[in-house]
Amino acid sequence: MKRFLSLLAFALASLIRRKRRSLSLGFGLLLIAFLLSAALLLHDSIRAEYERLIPGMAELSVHQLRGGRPERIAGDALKELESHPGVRSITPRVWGYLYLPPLSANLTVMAKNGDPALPTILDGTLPDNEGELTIGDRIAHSLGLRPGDSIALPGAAGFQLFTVRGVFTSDSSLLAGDLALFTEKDARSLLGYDDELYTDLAIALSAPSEANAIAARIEKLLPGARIVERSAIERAYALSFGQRAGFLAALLLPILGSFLLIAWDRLSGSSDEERYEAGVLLISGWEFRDILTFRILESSALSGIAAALGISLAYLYLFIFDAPLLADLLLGWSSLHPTFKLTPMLHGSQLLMLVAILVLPFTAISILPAFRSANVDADALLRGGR
Amino acid sequence: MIASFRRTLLPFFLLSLVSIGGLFFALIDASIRREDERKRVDEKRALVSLLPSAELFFSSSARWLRHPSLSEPMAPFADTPSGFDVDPAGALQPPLSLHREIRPKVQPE
Repeated sequence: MKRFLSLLAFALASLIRRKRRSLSLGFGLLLIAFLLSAALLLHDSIRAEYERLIPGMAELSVHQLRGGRPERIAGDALKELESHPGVRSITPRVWGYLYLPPLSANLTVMAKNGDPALPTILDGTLPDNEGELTIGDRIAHSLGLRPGDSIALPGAAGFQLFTVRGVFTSDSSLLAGDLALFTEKDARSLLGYDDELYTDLAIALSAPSEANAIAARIEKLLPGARIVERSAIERAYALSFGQRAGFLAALLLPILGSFLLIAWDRLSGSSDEERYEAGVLLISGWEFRDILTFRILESSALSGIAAALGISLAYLYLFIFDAPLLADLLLGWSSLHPTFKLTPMLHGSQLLMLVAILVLPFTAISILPAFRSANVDADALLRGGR
Repeated sequence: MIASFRRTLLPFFLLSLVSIGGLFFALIDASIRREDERKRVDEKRALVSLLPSAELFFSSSARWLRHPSLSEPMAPFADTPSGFDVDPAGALQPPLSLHREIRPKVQPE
């Protein structure tokens, strides 16, 4: 143990002696650790976010299509299915988008179809009467609205005046940042739906595993309908973000590779000096094994510290400073942008994996130069043959 | 001995302390935030039932980026039918379960 500690102290002292080399290699590794872990942590958080939320959604959504384009659907189009034991409820929904010129953005206009209690994510209440609305935090922020304020919205039949009853907090921004919730009558008049038709039907099932069977029944009842299964949306999301984060990681891996190449070059390029040092150590009684351990300790200490700092900085950047630039790169820019509040999914095992990805290759590439430098003829060195 | 420790090892000791401290901070902060989120998750799921779908709101400036699965069936390809898909719901390699599902459908009759 004492021997190991002495070797460690010597390895650290050696890193300080070659301050410039240690700093440049350490900084390079820190930067790569930062970029790679930021991309992976961000992807994990977004994936966990929608995986947490998907169970809140109805298992099936049914839309009417005509000529491949979406049409609205009658509220009782699937009346026959209501008595089906696998179907818990069929909710006809009215929703659409409303372009708001002052924001250059689309709002999601939705008619309220339930009255859940939302004490922590809603400041105020849901709309109960006509002329009331509840909005997402980004709309409220962009227009400077608070519960009790009034707003005129450009509906299908001209401007309509509404009172803000509630504002969703920024904790729910990724879901409801652009949401404007109305009573059904108001939603219809804003969107210009002056008939009895609905945007779609949301079908909640008693057992999600029956989704395929019920979808097949719906296909027979409504041949022109488009049935979107919840699992399909989940899969589409997994693929879409997996691909984006994968592209980012794929861009970063060659950078890691070229860094390792440069590190290899630097480590083996200074072998003359290292060979001389190794020769002196051999003469003063060190064993070949000690020199190898010393080199491994030297490079793993450097890469370990750089990787740990890089990962910690990535965490601060993502979850304390809300990831400027990277979020735009991954999510795209918009005039109405969500408050970027993600929940970190960092676990010990993930941390170990990240450290291993960064430390192991760096330590591995330092072994061969160490072999070469330790394999010197001490006798020739004594005679001045460097 | 102490002087040489100060000169050589102290900076390393401090740096290691900062980096390991950073990792511990990240782990503890992450678990606190996860716990907070766990308290909100039921409400958020209830909110999802008030929305067209559980799709996340990243951008509202392009119509196909909001509830793309529900809004328009051909949305990703609507503007440039043979163009590069800007928000593809696909990957280089589909998950294995999807592979198995797709195969029978693409077989020629």
